[in-house]
Amino acid sequence: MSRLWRRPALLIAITAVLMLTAGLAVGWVAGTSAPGNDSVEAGFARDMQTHHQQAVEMAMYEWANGSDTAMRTIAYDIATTQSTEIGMYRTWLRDWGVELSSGEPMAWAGEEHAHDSAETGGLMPGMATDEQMEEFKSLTGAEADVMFADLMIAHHVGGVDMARAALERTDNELVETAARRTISNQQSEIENLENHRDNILNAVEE
Amino acid sequence: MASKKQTASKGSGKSTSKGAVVEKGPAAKKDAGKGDTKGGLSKSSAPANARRGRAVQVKQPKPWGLIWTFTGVGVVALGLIGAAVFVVWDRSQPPEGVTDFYGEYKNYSEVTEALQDGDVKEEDLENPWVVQQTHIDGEDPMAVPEYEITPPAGGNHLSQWQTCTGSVYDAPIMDGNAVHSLEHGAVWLTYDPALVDGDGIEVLAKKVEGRDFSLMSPYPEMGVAVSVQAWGVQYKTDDINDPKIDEFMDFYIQNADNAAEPGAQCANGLTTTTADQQMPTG
Repeated sequence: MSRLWRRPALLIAITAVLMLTAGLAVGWVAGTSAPGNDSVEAGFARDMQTHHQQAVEMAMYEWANGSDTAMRTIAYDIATTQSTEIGMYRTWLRDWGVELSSGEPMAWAGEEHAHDSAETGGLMPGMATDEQMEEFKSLTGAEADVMFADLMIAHHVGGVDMARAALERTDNELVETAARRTISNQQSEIENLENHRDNILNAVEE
Repeated sequence: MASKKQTASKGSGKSTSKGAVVEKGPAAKKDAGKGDTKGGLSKSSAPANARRGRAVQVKQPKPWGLIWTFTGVGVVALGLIGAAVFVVWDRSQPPEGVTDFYGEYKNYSEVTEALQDGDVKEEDLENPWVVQQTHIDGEDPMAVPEYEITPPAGGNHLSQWQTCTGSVYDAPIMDGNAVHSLEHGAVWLTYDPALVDGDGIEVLAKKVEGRDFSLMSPYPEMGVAVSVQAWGVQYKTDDINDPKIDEFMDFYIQNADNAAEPGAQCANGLTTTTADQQMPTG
């Protein structure tokens, strides 16, 4: 053992290796640093909470005023699940220490999407316009069921687009997982909404 | 290199209390260092160098500064490595002995990632049903889903979920409703009423009652006393006191990587059983 102390070069080498390994370990555990205010990650989280908020609003209306059991169940599911996700996105944003609101929706997703949003008066992909929301909220029963399905299908198509745009632009694990989950869930929900809607329409025709 | 040696010399001077030795220390050590480096590089010159080195070493005190510096650094480094290993090890691990249906993938998150990246096609999965989430009663309100395994642990289902807020049902429930609960992140505990008596049912019910995202119901002719299932995973046992039942519930209830629809609720689903002779979709 005492011989080791006479070989500074070896000691320095051992120390360097230990320090490097320790540094890597600490870095790996700590993960990457938090996304910034203008990052894709923050933009996605901000816009998704706004996007989800409208889905919750529509679903709560359908839950209270629709008539088809399956459609109202989907509405309940959307209202509760997307509320949970809104909480998740807000927690990310607060943890990252970035702003929760932005006057430039979809700016994180590149020129093309920013343009989309400008054309619809600041709405994100798939969101219902004020006129559509007003019309929807004048309906009850089967009419509300069908319009809810139509609005929500468009809403989900837009949501899937946003998730894809985020996936292409980020390697943040939190965001990737959430985006992938949005894609898989909303795609299967679109199919379910279409089927249940067609069911209601067929029943009305009969 | 040069700066390191300087630091080391300073260190040795500081930690030595006798003035006479301090003066000798740095010079002697420099020599020793040289000799050792050479010795390490070329073996042929080793004897001569070693002798010279030893001669100097006799008078040289232990370089305590150097020793403590490197020991300190080493301890800190090992501590950090140990802490990192512990943090990784301390993450929750799935209980052993669970049957999972994800094939070569670890969980729902991984299999959907592979599908979205185009690494695999749905029909090529070992069990394509782990990613199928269609409401069977969508196209035909009277349709009832069929499952490859008993009890089912995922797949297409009915539009309504079975309420799973720590719900204990005393009669069988519809598979299609229970699978919808699994999609929401619930664990479904089933028992074979021919193999579990009243006291046993009591024991099992205690595991579920009051525990959100869990539900329990009898499952006649299951052939095993107890089966617990979450989306894509299942564990069967004939021992109602098997601790794996609790481990399974702890790990899989609301498991973010495993629930097909995390964030969804268990409240406000169907609360009737087949004994109520309700329509499947309520």
